Amino acid sequence: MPQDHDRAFAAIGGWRVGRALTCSVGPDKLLVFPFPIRYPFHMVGTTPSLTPALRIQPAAAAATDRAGANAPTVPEKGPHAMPPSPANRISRRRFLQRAAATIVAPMIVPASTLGLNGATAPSNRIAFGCIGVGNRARHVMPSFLAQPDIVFTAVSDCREDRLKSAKELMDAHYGNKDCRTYPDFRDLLAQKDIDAVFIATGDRWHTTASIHAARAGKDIYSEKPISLYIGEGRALVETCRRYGTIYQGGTQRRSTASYRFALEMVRQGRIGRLHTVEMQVWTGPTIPHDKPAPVPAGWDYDTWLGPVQWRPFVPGRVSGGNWNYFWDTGEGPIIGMGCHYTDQMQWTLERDHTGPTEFDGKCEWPDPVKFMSETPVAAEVRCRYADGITGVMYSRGTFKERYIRYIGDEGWIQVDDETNAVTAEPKSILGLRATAGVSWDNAGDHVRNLLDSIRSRRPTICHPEAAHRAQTICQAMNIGLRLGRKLRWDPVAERFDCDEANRMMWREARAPWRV
Amino acid sequence: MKIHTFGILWMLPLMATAQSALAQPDLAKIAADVARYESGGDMEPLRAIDDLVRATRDMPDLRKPLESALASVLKGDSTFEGKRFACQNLGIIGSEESLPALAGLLARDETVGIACLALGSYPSAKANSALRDALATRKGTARAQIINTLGDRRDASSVELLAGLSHDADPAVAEAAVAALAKIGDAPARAAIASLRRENAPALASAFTEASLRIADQIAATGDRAAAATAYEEFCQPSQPTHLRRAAFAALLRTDADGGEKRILAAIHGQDATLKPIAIAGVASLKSGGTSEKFAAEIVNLDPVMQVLMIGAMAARGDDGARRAITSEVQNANQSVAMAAIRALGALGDATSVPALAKVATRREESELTGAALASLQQLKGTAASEAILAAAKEAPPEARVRLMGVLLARQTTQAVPFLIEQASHEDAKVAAAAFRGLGKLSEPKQLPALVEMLANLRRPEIEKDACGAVVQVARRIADPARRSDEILVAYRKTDAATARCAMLGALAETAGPQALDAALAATEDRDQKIRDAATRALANWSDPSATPRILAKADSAPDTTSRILLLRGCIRLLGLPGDRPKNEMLADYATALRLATRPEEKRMVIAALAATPLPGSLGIVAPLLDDAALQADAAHAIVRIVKANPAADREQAKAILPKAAAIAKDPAQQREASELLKKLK
Repeated sequence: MPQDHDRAFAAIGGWRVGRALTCSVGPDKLLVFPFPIRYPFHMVGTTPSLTPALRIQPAAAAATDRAGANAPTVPEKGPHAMPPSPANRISRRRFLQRAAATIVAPMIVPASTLGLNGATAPSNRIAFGCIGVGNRARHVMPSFLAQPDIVFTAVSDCREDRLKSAKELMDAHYGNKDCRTYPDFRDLLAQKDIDAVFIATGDRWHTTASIHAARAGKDIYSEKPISLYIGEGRALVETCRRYGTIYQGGTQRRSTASYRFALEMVRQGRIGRLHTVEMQVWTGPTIPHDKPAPVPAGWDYDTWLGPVQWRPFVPGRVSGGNWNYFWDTGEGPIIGMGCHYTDQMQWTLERDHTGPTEFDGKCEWPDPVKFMSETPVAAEVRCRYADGITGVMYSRGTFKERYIRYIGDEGWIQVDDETNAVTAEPKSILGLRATAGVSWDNAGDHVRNLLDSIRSRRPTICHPEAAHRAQTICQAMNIGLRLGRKLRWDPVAERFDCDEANRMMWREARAPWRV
Repeated sequence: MKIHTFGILWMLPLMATAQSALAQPDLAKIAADVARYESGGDMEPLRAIDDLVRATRDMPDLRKPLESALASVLKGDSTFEGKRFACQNLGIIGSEESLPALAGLLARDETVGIACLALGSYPSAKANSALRDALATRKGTARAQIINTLGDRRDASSVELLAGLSHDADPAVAEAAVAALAKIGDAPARAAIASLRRENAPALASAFTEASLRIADQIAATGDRAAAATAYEEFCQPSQPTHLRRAAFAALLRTDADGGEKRILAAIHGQDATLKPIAIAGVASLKSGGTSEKFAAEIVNLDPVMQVLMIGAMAARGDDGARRAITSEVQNANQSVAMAAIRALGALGDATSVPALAKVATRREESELTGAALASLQQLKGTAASEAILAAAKEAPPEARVRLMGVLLARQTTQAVPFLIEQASHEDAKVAAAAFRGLGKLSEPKQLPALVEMLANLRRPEIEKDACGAVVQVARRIADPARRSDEILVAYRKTDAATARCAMLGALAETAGPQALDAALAATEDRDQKIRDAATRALANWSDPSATPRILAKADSAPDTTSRILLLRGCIRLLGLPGDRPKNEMLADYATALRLATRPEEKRMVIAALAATPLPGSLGIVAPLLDDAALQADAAHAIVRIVKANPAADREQAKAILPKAAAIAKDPAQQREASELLKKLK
């Protein structure tokens, strides 16, 4: 048996061999996952380091394997990345457990005292369900399971293979057969013994699932982007407020030391007067044309689409993360990744309840002769706040070149997203970084913040309004690009100066879904 | 690829593009192509439409034909995907002109959704009529879709119709109708919902809950506090589900004229475990004066769990009253409460918080609380806080002082330098070592002479490493690398004390420079064995790659094997460091190093270093080693790496020796790689 949950979930980041995934979970054990893991094709070909567990072979041989046929195609980092090796994972987990014990444990409040329906009182753990158990859920799940006061009791997915394997992993973690499975997430939400949900579906589902969860009385951790269009995000904010939902947007950089450090330096005026925030996501990608095909056995494609108006099943459009690059299911890297940086910008500027007032930019569209993807290949979009501070979002370079840079009239500070490295000018700023934080791909502290808020009923660090405002910036950028025009935005009324742009703030969900 | 800019600059060229696109009689053809579109097919016509939508903005004369073309796609035998695409764009640019075509889509179940995609944000009120008309003929999901759209459009004219549909036999339709009524939310809609609720249909219970809460929000937004409170209070009753009670209570706090202060106090004094945390959370946003003081007085009456929550709420208030209240809880006997207060002060505290935090941080026994207090001291903002911490450090006993000196170091408190200089001679070695660590981080180059003098006069081996480290750190802040060892050299030459000279040789290795190298080389001839050993160690640890040839020469003439090996290993390390030395010189150094290496261990190190940083000519050095039984495996591996890194260099030699390297390599993968490289070279 795997020794713990981390190993079981980290296993998903193991080796892809043929159609199955295998991973060492101990000195003499191998887990085999009976389904292939797919990644957005732009990720394929990246070459992560070998896991320490597999470094038993001679260095020369290992070097050969990196380039060889068995080399993993799993990205080490990034929104679709897999967790580190089991060995690293254990280490990180232990670190987190220690941190939790040191910092948080004294603040844990008995669930029954706080009125968590009484259902979790015996173990004082918050009962979670997971909606959507694909790659992203598996990447983030260890951060949840590392928390001592969580128990996952149910999972939901519209794909049989994922549902089955998620149950296996949960059961392996808890050493029982108790994990319940629900093809329809509404059945999971109907379970009274579940306090909260982790929503890690495809982007098209994030808001609708969150709203259903809020109505069912569940607190929420939702992956970003928290919405695909502005009206949807506003509906989410209102629903969470209406139901008193504790909601954490999955922009976990708010809980990451490097970004907090940069924020602190900017707020302290270490780079002088801030005038520009540069943000960079990657180029493209472009997805070649593909034809409709039969829906694979075990897929509930109707549920997969959810609130998106029907369109045929096209493998090249729905598989892996390719859905990211179509307007109705993903909206591209500016939305999917850029929201991390606009979220940082908003937070640093202390503008979680407002936003910029102008947007303009330019972009490069995919060649329709070769590609069917819809979102820009490259872009440069600016937003300006009323006080003149400008945010510039670049979609350019490689995946690994993501960053955010704050530029002031006396210097700058930058966080490289891939490496979490902080650079600055003047360099003396870096000497002030007194504490080291966990890696950016570790949502542990972000999860901890949610759990503390669930107990205290106080807002999370990325509450719905903050998450919605950060997302709105990206959505306004995309609307501007799609309309090919400069836009003015009233952040109070949440309206553009352009009727067409206002019309693009809303998309009618496919019935029976509504927000 | 097509590039577009939005903003003023792009306008003219794109207008020209639009004019020219529309001037050509191909709009009908584009529409016809869109009408045939299916996934996998040609997307050029779709992208052409996208371009035209962008290009024809503010050009009504050009928009009309474009809209007509899109509307034409909705008719006849167009593919579903073609119609879907047309609907997406009509949702952006469509006018009343296209409503008949969209209404046509509402007449078929399979196209109702895409019609509503267009109509959801359609500006014309006539869209509502089209939707209402379609309701009569649609059933099931299609009907729910239309109802949802009417609700999203806030169509007040649909209230009566929707009220009727809330009795639909299909629960999905009935729920959609209730939800739509709540979204419309005008007086007739509210009245309809109130009436429908009285019918008490269990299947619609959650829809009515949502509707009632939404309407209560709408009433609150109008400023009618009393009516809103009545609506919320219904859901606050103990019979309601926990989440609704919480939500309604929070809404009541928002509705109350006093921000909920009285209601919060009542809940805090009460026994309702569900509402008490919500009440405490509400303290964070109360606006009235003296709130923090008022609720600070309540802390003592709460149980520890609620005290922790109250501290969190007070921290969010962030005012002076809250800070004082939290500071007074730092010494709370309950560890959870004390921890909450300590952590809260990290973000909220100021100089006034230092004494309380320092008291915990300097407790004799280290614990989670002392660690948290130190972390919070580190986080406090402002120079006044730094000065307060410095004052606390001066008063603290030695062991605790070390902790606070660590805080000063982390905070980069340069005002602490005089204090640290004084503490560097403290009799307690831990204090002195901590002082040197702080001086290394905080001192400026102008303070280097004083630091060097302290090192020169140091007679305490236990802190020599920290003192030396401080000197090196400060010296490295001198901009000109050639001047970094100047002060150390002056002191080195002045002193006769062997201990001091040994320490300073270590510092010279780190700061380097030509004169420093001369001094270290000369020291290898010193009469004192200790100094000779220290000089050898310094040269083995030298930090400047340009010193390699002279250190190699010293290794060649070393009087004993140990010194020779130490110096040789130091040179191999230096050869791997980044630098701008000419490649031919480096190659010569590698050759010398290999010649001086007498043991296989050092030879392997040279081979590995060559493989890691291949130079033109490297193969010439490594190739002969293929014949050495002890080294041939390493040599074969290195040759493959060298050729792989730069196949163009030494091409002919590579072709000659790769087969031999492949034959020697035992690892099949390496053999395969060697063969592949050979193929490429050929």
